[in-house]
Amino acid sequence: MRPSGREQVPSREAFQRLLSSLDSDPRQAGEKYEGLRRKLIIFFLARRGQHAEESADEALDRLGRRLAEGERIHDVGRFAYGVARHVHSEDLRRLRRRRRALQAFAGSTPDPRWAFAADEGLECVRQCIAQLEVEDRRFIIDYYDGSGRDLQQARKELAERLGITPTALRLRSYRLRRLLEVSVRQCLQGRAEGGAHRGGRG
Amino acid sequence: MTRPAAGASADIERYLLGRMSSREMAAIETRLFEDDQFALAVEDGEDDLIDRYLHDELSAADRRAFEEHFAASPLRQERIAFRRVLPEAVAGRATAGAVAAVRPTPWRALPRWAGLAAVLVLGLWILQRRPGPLPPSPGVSPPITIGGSSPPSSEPAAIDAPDLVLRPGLLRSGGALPRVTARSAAVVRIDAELEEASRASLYVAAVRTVEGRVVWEGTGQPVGKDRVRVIVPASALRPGDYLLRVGVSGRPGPESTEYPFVVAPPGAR
Repeated sequence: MRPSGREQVPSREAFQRLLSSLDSDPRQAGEKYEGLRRKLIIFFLARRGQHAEESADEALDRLGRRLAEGERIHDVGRFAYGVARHVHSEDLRRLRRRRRALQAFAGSTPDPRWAFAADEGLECVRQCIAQLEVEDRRFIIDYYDGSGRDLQQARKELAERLGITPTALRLRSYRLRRLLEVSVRQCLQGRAEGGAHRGGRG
Repeated sequence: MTRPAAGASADIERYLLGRMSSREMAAIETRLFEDDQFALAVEDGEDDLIDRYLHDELSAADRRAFEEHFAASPLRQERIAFRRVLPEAVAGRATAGAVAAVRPTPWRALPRWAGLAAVLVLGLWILQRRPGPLPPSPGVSPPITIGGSSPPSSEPAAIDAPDLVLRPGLLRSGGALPRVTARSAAVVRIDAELEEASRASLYVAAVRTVEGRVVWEGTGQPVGKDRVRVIVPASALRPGDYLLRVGVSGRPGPESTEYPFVVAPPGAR
């Protein structure tokens, strides 16, 4: 879900313009797009963005629209950084307004110890991993399991074993992780809604 | 993988933990957007921080910064929780008992469970959306012990009861095969008894049809010294005849054992 106030959907043309500005080869462009998106997410997370993914997408949408409007951008990465700073400023303003409105609730973040649905989280992750294709499942296990060794070294070896570059390895893990994150989220939501329904009946 | 110089690595950590001035942040971010290798190093830095947090290797100050800054966003909380549960999910470990044990204990005082607390953060996400009490765990049907299977014995409290227990040698004995009924539950828990006691900590497992088509591959965890628990998604098991193969992780196939079993259609006897 987008933070409120941002509902403008980018046109197909804007998206295509952004892709072609990243690389003339569609495959390379797709990979660079995801790389840029990851950088934006890092940026928003470092600034404690509560909706880092949505903010990153917003920045990319704006970038695409500027390109579609005919703006000449020489360095897309640097330009994206500028757009991200604007988006972040807007996020902060929005957050401040909301905080004022919800001041009564300030500082009421629940203690993590209150939450004890870890078995559900584990079950959902387990279920979602089990639903992956065999190759993907093997990959995600290898990627995150250093078996006590240096994880970065283990990943370097994994890339060598698969005959792919570290960047390609990262990209594959990123895509799988996104897939898993979405499916785990849906799984948890399904369980929460199921619980709410059961609670409502009881 | 990308290994930044020690100074860059320290800067990345400071950046991720929110310990930089605005000017320093701008310098790091400029480099982040211009240098793909540096961006990879920052991602490595994130993973590294999460690992060290989960292994209780951060200093008190770093841990505080991690919790207050690095883990401030729901996305990072999900990632931390995901990283924490992934090895357990892969190994198929049941943690219900462990969760109950950690509940009354301050999480920082228990390095072993420090990571689990991160999982609990994931639960916040649920609680924030749940008006009522937590739902019960998914129901587990009693173990089915038809044919050569044996009743489960001396199960640790933290491990759910199996839906099916398989013994070795059934292929040779020619007796009735263990049978489980296809059902709507998400997973089928199968315990395979080993031919001899083993101290392996992880097993590889695969289920295939008698025609040889692999329907599921994954790992199994030891339940005591003579059993391996595998958890198979129910969606993979349509009515039919199957073979479960279990072997010690890292060893080639010949040392594995095969167990036949049958998935009966719902309502079948």
